[in-house]
Amino acid sequence: MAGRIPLAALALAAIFAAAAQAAGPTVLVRYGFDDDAVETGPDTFAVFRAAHGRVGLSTVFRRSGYRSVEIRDVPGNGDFSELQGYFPEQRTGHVFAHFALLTARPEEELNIALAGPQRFRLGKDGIAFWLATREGRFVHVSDSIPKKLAPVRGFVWYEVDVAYDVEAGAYDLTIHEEGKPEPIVALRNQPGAARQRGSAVDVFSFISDPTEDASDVTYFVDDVSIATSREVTVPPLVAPGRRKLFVDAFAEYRRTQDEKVRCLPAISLRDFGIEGSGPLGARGITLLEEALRPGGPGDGGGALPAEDARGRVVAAAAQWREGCAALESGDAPTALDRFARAASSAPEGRIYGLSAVLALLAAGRAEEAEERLGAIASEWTDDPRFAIVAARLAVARGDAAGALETLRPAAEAGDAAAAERYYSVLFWNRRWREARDFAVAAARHPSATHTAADWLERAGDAAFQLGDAREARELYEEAARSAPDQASLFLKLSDAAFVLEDVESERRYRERYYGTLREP
Amino acid sequence: MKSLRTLAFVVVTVFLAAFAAAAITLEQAVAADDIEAIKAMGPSVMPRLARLYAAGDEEHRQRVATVFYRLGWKSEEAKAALMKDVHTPNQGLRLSVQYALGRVSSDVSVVDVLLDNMQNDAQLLFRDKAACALAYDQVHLTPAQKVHLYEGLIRALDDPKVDVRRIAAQVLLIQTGQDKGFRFAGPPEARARAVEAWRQWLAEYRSQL
Repeated sequence: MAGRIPLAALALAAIFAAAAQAAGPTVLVRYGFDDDAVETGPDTFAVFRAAHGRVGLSTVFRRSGYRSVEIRDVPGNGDFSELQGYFPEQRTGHVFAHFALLTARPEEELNIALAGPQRFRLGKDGIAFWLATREGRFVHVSDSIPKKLAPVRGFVWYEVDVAYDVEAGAYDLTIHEEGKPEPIVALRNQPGAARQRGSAVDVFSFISDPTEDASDVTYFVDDVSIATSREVTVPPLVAPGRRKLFVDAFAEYRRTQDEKVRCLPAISLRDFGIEGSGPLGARGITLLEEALRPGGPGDGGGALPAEDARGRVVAAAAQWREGCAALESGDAPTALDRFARAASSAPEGRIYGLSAVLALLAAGRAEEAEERLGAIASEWTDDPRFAIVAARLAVARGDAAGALETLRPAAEAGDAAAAERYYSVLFWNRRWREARDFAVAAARHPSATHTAADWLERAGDAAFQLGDAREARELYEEAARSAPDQASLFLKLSDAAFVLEDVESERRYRERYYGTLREP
Repeated sequence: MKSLRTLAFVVVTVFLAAFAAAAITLEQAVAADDIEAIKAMGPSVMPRLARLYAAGDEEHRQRVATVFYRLGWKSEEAKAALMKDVHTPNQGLRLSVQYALGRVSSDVSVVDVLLDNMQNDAQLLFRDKAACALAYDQVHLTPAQKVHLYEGLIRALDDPKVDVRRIAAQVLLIQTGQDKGFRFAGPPEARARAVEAWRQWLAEYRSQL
């Protein structure tokens, strides 16, 4: 049974968490929206502002301090306003969530959820806790059943406390109404949203109405805390909104390839050939997630009409997942077959070609791998994963020094494939200075008319590794002038600005991706 | 007075011309599969789309059905038009109609016809895709209508055809995130226990309406 943790316990947890070696419970995230800790990012929260809607700081209503977050939506705009927050994944222990809520329009729907890596779907590791307002009442979805709770009054603060027992997949829920000493809801040991034992959580969401798009809600959220009963160390934020810089992400990718050849992770919908989530829609996203889940269906696309282009995208993703599993188990031929099928179904999915290169490498077919890599180079120049694979391949084809000697003349003469490989070997071997100088020269080479931005970005990467954030920033900025939509450049610029203590630029670049609670 | 009549004539002519242009634009948008252009016209376009659907051949009807599916706007006219093809043997049209129906309606008659197709259609493909429609496309159902859907799915767990039991269980899993221990190819006694668990669950669901 989930043990109830009152507000006082959360407050205590917050105090204890300040100590480096806290004895549990541990506060994972806490937002009062009053101080400067409102920075968006991959390890704090993201803001999705629907057309004509709003997600932003407000001083009009607040439960504590002087600010809250206002979430406003309008019906029929095909979009949803959402505050979505992230915290370290919890697979054991109790998770305590607390927040305050005030709605201006009790009859309009709003939804609040705690979910896991499968995100906002019913099932294991999907939604664990789901509270909503519908037709003027609180409703919680427990055991997959929307269950009515107390009526909701407008312009009244509600304090919501959830104690979720992860292993049991059950929770206690308490709701206090402002001005009333007794709780209006006090439930114990409720089955989770889909009655799933061990359903992990790592994300919370405050949203309007994500299915019907009929809600005209305006509501306010304050004092959000997520804590765990476990004694855990939460890595500190090393920069606003994130626990690691992109250079650390690069190092992680590299480590995955140091041990053995295996798939590099897909990190965006673009990897599957999808630009933004719009073309997939909620159902397409669900099917894609299902297809990528280990043990998921082999042909998720079959759940869509034959003429629905999303079907082949989903089916291709399922093939890719199978290929990665085969590669992981050392079965390179099967992996290659699956990646080929995926690429055939959805040629716009760039991850399939890159994965095929890895499978060829694992099969000892380095020459073919190199040919394939050359063919897909133009799709990957803005992504560190390409550099990892290129370097891995270059090293596989011989010793690094020999590779460099062989490649150098052609690379310096402007041979694009040789230049890519030469740079990759330098980078893989941490010869940052040479890598930077070569990339700068490659960017200025007459043959680099269409690839100058990519070379400048690489030069910036090497400069960053050298510890010269100022030069890295200059190189990224120069690259951005000719490639203003290149996504990776702006997160890197945000990192460089952070290192250079340029707070305004750091924020501006980061918020292009994660949004902001401040008014645009 | 004459100038007023002239003005009225000009206004009417311009209005009719604009109306004709709008009609052509809708047809062009459908032909070009330009869903954004159709969305920009707003939900009031649905009756006209339903008429376009009814007037076309099978290929055209399949195209319009896909437009209905992608728009996801409720429309009695669209539902009525689509229902006429819900048993068509034309494979492409049938699948598009089955998928689109739930996205233009909030109606137990649609749930019933899809449940019937899922259980009784002679073709496995049509049964399977009716289940897909029940799993993903009943986006406008009220809670009471959902009870009706779950009731039909739980009943289908007792179907003598293994594939029907399999797809019914799959729909329930997608809709609720649960399986209640039901195994479509399991022994009858074990299946009966799981079905009983689903029935108890449904009773609780109904009690919350």
